[in-house]
Amino acid sequence: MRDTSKSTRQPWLLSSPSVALFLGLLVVPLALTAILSFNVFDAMMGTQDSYTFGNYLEILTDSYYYELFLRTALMAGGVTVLCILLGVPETIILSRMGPRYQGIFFVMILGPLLISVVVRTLGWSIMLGREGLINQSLTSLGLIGEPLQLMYSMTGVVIVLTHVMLPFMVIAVWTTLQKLDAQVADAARSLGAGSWTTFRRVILPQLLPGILSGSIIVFTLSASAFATPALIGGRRLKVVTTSIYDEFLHSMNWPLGAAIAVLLLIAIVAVVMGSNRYIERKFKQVFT
Amino acid sequence: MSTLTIRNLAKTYPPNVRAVKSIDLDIKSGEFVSLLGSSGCGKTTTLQMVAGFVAPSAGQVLLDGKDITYLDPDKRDMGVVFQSYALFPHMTVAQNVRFGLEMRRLPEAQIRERVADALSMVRLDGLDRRYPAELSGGQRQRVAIARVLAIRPRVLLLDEPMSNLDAKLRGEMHVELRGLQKRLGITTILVTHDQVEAMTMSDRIAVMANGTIAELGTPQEVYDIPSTEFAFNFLGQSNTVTAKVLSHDEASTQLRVGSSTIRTPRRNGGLSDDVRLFIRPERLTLSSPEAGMITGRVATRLFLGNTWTYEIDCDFGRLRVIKVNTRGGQPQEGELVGISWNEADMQSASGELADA
Repeated sequence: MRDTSKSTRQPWLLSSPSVALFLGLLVVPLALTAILSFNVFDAMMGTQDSYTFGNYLEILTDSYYYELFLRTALMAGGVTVLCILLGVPETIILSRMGPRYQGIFFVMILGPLLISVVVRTLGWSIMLGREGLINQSLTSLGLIGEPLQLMYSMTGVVIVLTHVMLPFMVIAVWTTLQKLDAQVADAARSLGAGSWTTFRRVILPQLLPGILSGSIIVFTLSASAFATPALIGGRRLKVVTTSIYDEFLHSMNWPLGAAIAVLLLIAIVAVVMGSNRYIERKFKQVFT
Repeated sequence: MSTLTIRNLAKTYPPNVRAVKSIDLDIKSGEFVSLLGSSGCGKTTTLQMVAGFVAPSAGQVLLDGKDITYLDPDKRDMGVVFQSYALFPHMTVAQNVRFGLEMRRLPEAQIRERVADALSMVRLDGLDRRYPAELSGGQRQRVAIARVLAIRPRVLLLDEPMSNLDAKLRGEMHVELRGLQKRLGITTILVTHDQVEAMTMSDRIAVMANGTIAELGTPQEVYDIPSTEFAFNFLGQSNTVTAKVLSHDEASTQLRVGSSTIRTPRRNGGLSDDVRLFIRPERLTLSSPEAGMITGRVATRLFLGNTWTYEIDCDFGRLRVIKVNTRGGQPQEGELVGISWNEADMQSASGELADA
């Protein structure tokens, strides 16, 4: 009898620190944000104690917000596609390197994560400016007549976000690549497949789960990224996160900001769960 | 079918690792040859060079007289069964088997026929919609075999294909695979470290050591009358005894081991030279001390069901004797016994170690 009560109490006891952390730092603030999003806001009086669906109605009926969410989705989608196109070949090349170079290049790939977001982003803004390194090089090479508009543009934000997000894709693909049996490629070759067919029909399908999970990470982090869109995109290129920030700190319309934040969360969770279900259905038999 | 000729094949990995020093091997059409050796002897590298996965540093591989040394693996028409089976995990059994046929751009009807044929050959009918992860180890191996048989390869290359199977299944697969190979008449190379596997399946065995072939012959030849000491010790069990030459006559040589004098067929060598003698434990017979050619005392005996293994202390060292278990009196531990043998079963080598 005593044993059973002990065995039911013990897991709770042992997990209580992490449960407390989880509740205090995630669940409570999220719940408060959700409640806040239903508060009435008055331009003169600020946040009121009464509740309404008005904030959501305002967002769902205004085409400005649709554009905002669409732009954010395009940005996150663009970053994800670029990360796949760059990250998959990069990981394959990395996996074929000798152990010494592999170490060096791994650190280089993880580099963006090791640098403070402010330093990294300001560095990029120097590179991307009208008089920046990229524009100067391209102009003096005669490739372009006019400097490109990279700062405060979608192109700039996508470039910089891709730079930071790439390590997540590389790590995710790397993990699946390590599980791959090297002999499988040899088997395909000896059965008559050329190297491209081998990649397309044998290697790539096995990397898909890794690519998809990497994409989920990259998409989620890009859609909710704040510092990069704020510093590179500025006021000209608003995305969901920067407009939430503006609602909170400039318009002081906290309830509306909270409502946008809740919708962003719902959108991201929907994307993640949708892709997860897709992966599970598609690859259930393959990796058990 | 096809003949395969390997000439002076060598592989050196940088900086200076000579994985394969020089291999010469002629494999007749429909012949089953095993490359037998312990790990690191170069047997797998040799197979990979034949398959085209590794480019040789020197030498040639000829298939039906045509030089294929540097040909891409997809143009060789060889079927490889890997140790890990290397099935495509994202494809069903049927998709795995038809992969090679699709690469050959065969018409759909023919592909279906050949997939069905190959699967029934390895007795896997009805499992064609399963994924590899849903199969047992033995079934996976059958899929790997079906996958290469379907393309009707000119040469079948088997890279330790049985090493992940349990002992009983392995024994069954030896018989089954050998049967298939004979029926289809496919020229086959098997790489293995398992002596039993090599002996039961092969027409010829190439015993490999240090990147070369140390011994080549039929299983009986390499077991019974190997030309190198290495092969004698590597295959099966053996007793090694050092003896001194006492005298020669026309037909035989007298040698001294411990306090006994024994005879072997006439061999060269000066008087009082050291000679090493080899004999397999199952070629020694036990008798009463008076009837034996030498005597010794039973140190231990192990019962293995069908046989007894005796360790017998003689005055020159310990001998191992393997005796078939016939019910009746077996010598006890501590008992003095005589040991005899047929002189033709004893091999000898000169003093220095014959390097394999």
